[in-house]
This record gives sequence, structure tokens and C-alpha cells, in this order.
Amino acid sequence: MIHLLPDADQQQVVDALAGLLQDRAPLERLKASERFPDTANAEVLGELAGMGIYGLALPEDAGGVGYGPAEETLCAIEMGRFLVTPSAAAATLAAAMLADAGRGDEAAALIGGSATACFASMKGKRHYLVDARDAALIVLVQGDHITLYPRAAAGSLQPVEGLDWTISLHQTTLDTAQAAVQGSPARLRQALLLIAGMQVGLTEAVCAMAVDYAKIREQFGQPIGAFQAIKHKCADLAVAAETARAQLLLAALAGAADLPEADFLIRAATLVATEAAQASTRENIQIHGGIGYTAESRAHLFLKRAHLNEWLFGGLWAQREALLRAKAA
Amino acid sequence: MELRTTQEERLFREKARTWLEENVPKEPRPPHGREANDHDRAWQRRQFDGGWAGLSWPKEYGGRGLPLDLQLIWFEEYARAEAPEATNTLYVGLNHAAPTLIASGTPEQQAFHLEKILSAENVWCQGFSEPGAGSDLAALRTRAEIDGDDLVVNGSKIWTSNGHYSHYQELLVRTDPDAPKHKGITWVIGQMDLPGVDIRPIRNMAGGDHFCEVFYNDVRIPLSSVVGKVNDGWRVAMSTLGFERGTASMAHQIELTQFVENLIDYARDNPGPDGRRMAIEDDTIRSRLAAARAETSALKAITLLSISRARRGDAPGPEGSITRLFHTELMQRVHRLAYDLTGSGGLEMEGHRGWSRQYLEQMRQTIAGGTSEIQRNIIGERHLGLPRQPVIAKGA
Repeated sequence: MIHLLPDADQQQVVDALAGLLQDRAPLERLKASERFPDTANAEVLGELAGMGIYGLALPEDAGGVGYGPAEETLCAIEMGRFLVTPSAAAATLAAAMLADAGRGDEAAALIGGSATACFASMKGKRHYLVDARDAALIVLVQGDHITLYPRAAAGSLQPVEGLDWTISLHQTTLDTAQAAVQGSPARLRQALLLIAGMQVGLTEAVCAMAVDYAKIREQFGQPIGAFQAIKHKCADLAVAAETARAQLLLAALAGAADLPEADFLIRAATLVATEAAQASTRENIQIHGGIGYTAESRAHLFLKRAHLNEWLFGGLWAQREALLRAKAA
Repeated sequence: MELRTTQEERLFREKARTWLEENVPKEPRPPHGREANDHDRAWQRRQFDGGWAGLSWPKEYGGRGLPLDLQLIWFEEYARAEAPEATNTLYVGLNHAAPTLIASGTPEQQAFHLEKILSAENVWCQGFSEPGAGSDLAALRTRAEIDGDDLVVNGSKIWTSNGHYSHYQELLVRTDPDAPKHKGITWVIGQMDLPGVDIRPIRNMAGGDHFCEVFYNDVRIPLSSVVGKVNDGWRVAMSTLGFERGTASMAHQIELTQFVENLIDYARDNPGPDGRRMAIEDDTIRSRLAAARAETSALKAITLLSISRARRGDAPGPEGSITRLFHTELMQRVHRLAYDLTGSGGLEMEGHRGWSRQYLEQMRQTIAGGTSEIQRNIIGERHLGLPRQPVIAKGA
């Protein structure tokens, strides 16, 4: 039996997180026309630590809350919806890898929020650091590996103008000999699910944003959503959101149960979710017309994040390769 | 959210696998014509006799009353055993007429028809579309006047799949021409061999003749064949369209998954478009194969989501159109990929395993049973709550 709807307990976790984010990190916090100050991301990360999010799926004896991949994936969707920095997912993964390595104190520091982590992404032989700030740890997902590095493994940081205005971007070179922990295949799965979860969340967010706008914006004396040209685009956004969500939740359950086809389902989820996120965020801009092209509108923030998230797991190309290699059901 | 395999599921899967291994027909299914229909009926009969028909039908109607989870396992094993395609000439009876009779039929209608549908004794076809009523189905004009205990039917239907092999028809007729268009329609069981029924097959672009035009000239159908009430046919029809758009296509979805795996195997073993490397080494083909694999998985996932909603007790709603739209468009993408994989060999109609013909046949998917455009309207208006499109009156 496979049940893809949250039970009452799971819904409660989601609602609590959504409530916190609506209260402390509403989308209005993002001044869409300006670069977002690093300190603001730090504040959101601190609020999430207060809720215990980074240890949500770790057992209680490892300092976690004791939920599982299902709850954690549902929470990633909410974080994607509110454009929370991916450093939240990085903290979750770093804490889990440290706990696996028996370094409970360092894991506890991440879960409690006194230390932070960030993602890296390969650029040729060099690396980007995403939302680096004062992160003590760096998470790199590449191919079939997930690796945790100490900050000291990064050389000097060179700030670059990032595509995503809500997050800082630096170039550096990671000294791969200094890896702190090689994550297990289970941690790789967790990383893929967290990133795909954020993609699903922002896909759902722009579907709602586009539909809301199509209901109020009037042209030719009608809400534009009455016209099939717009209505059908909105329908496609709903299809993209539904398929991406369903595939993600199926993958999360398969991962938790360690089914033989889990890797296949998880790679399919990253692929479907990323295609959905990028297509939907583009279409949302088109549905908004001129205003969608302005810096003032938040539409571009979702598009840029959908592209940033793709490189947290090594790009779509890598997902396709992994998917073709994986064993189907 | 939960995933677990129960002992009941394990035992059921084993039994299904064993039975299928011993019973799946060895000969391939003929692609069309009466031979295909005969093949479908013989295979359905064997499943019926073996106790494998109507798994999720309620027990009181001759089914086994099993949950959809077990039905899904059956289809998984069915596809695994490479059993004949499940979406066949019996589809309308099994997935359309029977659910309608279960939902809205009289006890007499149910007792007479349901078992005969399940055992393939009777074949059913649909009589909804008309030359002037396609996407605007409620504009249908086939007239039925009450005369004593009978309805007297005059008019014509079109796109009636398998009409010439069918015994019965789910027929929508206009019983009140003065009522608003959705209010004057009646759903009635038509018998295809009644005097005044004239069936003419239409050849389709893939060479098959599975669909027909049907003409009615003073055809007398007893009022006892009305399903639901006179003038309540629109509601009766819509309740089963929701079913069709939801979980009815589960079997086909699983077959599609198997088909994509076959494409990947083919691409590993056969040269690609440049004639030098294997097809799978071609970046474009690779990327399309990966997308097909991911998307057929997502198709199964949204079906599992529908089953989850049904388990919670939700009636099939407009989100069924999401499944249908995604499913039909994905089928076309996958079959176009199959066609492309065969290179110039695709110029032969039967080519490699009939992939060329199947590519052509897929054109119907986004038209039959409500076009993609109508599905998008349903999703936009009923699922997302967007306003209905402005209707511009004639002369305005």
C-alpha cells in the first residue's frame, strides 16, 4: 500500500513550519528589486534552528526530532515555497553526516544553529559557494557522491555577482583532500530529496501566484484567466506541480523503505521537479506580462532559484545520466 | 504518507504472477478488426473464469471487492507478464458502462448486464459524440420521443469505437428539446441489433476501422432501458467520465512504463540516427529516453495520488483531468520517440513491432474522450477556479 497524502501528524509538522515561515519569513521580506542582505538569510536560518528543523529526521539519541524522510521532504516543499536559502538543507545534511561519523557535538551545533553550513557547486576545477557567509561546513553533491568539507578546505573566496539576488555567490577552490566526511548513499538520497523538495515548493508557489494574478488582472473587460490562452497555461502549471509533487513523495517513501528502485525514483523526482520548476517559473513571468519582467515583481526570484537549485545537485545532465543507469522497478 | 507491503499484498502478487504465467495467450493480439475483438473476448473470458476479472468491482455486482492497491498489483504483474494490452475493445463496457450501471442503474439492469460485461459475453460501445456535438457534447441533437412504453430515436452518432462488434451502446439522446441544453438529455441502453440501427465503419489514418458512424431511424427502445431518470442523462454521463479520467487508465500506464523500458533496450542494441553509434549514445535520444523514464514514473505517482484521495473517501474530481492530460500527451511523446528510434525503418507501417502504426494511432489520444483543450478548460475552471471563458453570442 502506498499512501501519498500526509496523515494528521505529518500535516501538523507541515502546518507548524508553514506558520513559522509565514510569520517570520514571509515572501514580503524579499525586496525583489534589490539584492538581499546576507544577514536576512542568517535570521531565517536561526528561526528554523529554533524549531529543530535541521534534526527533523535524525533519531532522538542523535540529537534529532525522530521523524523520517516523509516529514523532512514535506518540510523541504514548504521551504521552497518561501524561497528559504538552501543553506537550511545544507545544515540538515551536514548535521546528518556528522552524526553518522560519530561527531555528535558538531552535529548538535548545526542543529542548534550555532554553526551553519552551505552548498558548493562544481565549476570546472573550481567551485561556487552558495550563501557562504560564515558557514563552518560545505556540502558538495556531485555525481553519486555527497561530501562534507570544513570551511578551511576552501581557498580564498572571490565574490561574484550571482544570478539569484537573494543569495550570495563566491568562487573558490575546494581542496578535495581535506574532505571531512564522505556521506553514505542514504545521505545522497536525502540531499536529492531535499533539493527536489524545494523545487516542488517553488513550482507550487508560482502556480498559485499565476492563477491568483489571472483571476484579478483584467483585459478586454475580462479577467485574463477567462481566456483559454492564459487558462491553458495555468492548467499546465497545475499539471507540472501535481506530477512533481506526486513523484517526489513516492520517491521519499521508496527511499525510506529502501526499495530496490529507490535511486531510480529519486533521480526521476529530481528531473521531473527541476523541469517543472524551470518551466513553471518561466511561464509565470509570461502570464504576468510586463510586470513579470520587472525587478519589482517576485516572479524572477522564483525563476532564478529554480536554476540555482539545479546546480546544487550537479545539473540536469547528471540527473539524466544517473536515471538511465538506475534500476527501474 | 506511508509505504508498506502487507502479507495480503505479497500473497496476491504471487497468485497473480503464477496465474498469468500459465494463462497469458501465447499468440500476439491481432492489431485490429473483428479478429482483435475475438481475441479480447477470449482473453477476458479466461480471466473471468479464473476469477481475475472485476477485481475492484463491488462483490454484490460480481466483482471481488478488492482495494485499488491490489488492482494496481494485478496490473503490474499483468504488464510484467506481457499480457495483451488491457485497453482493448472491451474498454467501454468494463470501464464506462459498468461503472455507470453500478452508480445509476436499476437492480434489473444491473442483474442483466454486469456479469455479461465482465465475462465479455456482451461488448459495449459509446454513443455520445455526434457530427455537430464534439467538444460541445451537450449540443447533441439525436432525438428521442416518448411513445407509450418506448423511446423512439432518430439521429446519428459518430466516433463510436467498435460499434460494429458491439451488442449494446451507452446512448445519450435529447428527450426535451425545449429545456436548457444540459437538462434535456437522457442516458439509455441501446441495443445495436434493433431495427432502424445502421452502423457504418470509418477507416482511420492508421488503417484501422474500429470507429463507426451510427444512424438511428425510428429505433424503438423500451423506457425500462433508461439509466437514471429521463432528462437526467448529463449527470449520469458525467459521473462516469470522472471515473475514466481518474484511475481507469491504470493498466495502460503500467504498460507504458514497460514500453519505455523496451525502448531503452532497443536503443542500446540498435544504431542511432547517425548510423554509426548505438542510439543510446546520441545525446538527444538519451535525453528523451531519460525524460520518458522519469515522466512515466510520475504518471504512476499521480495515479497513486488519485488512489490515495479515493482511499480518503474523495469522489473523483476535476484533478482526474490532470492525470488524463498528462497521460495522453506523454503517450504521444513516448510513441514519437519509438518511431524516431527506428530511423528510416519507420517508413514501413508495421516496421519494428508495429511502432509506426502505434505512433499514428496515438494521435487519437488527445482527441477522444475529451480533447486536451477541454481537459485544460476543466483543470482551469473546476480545479483552479478560473472564470469561464466569455461566450460571445451570435450577432453580438
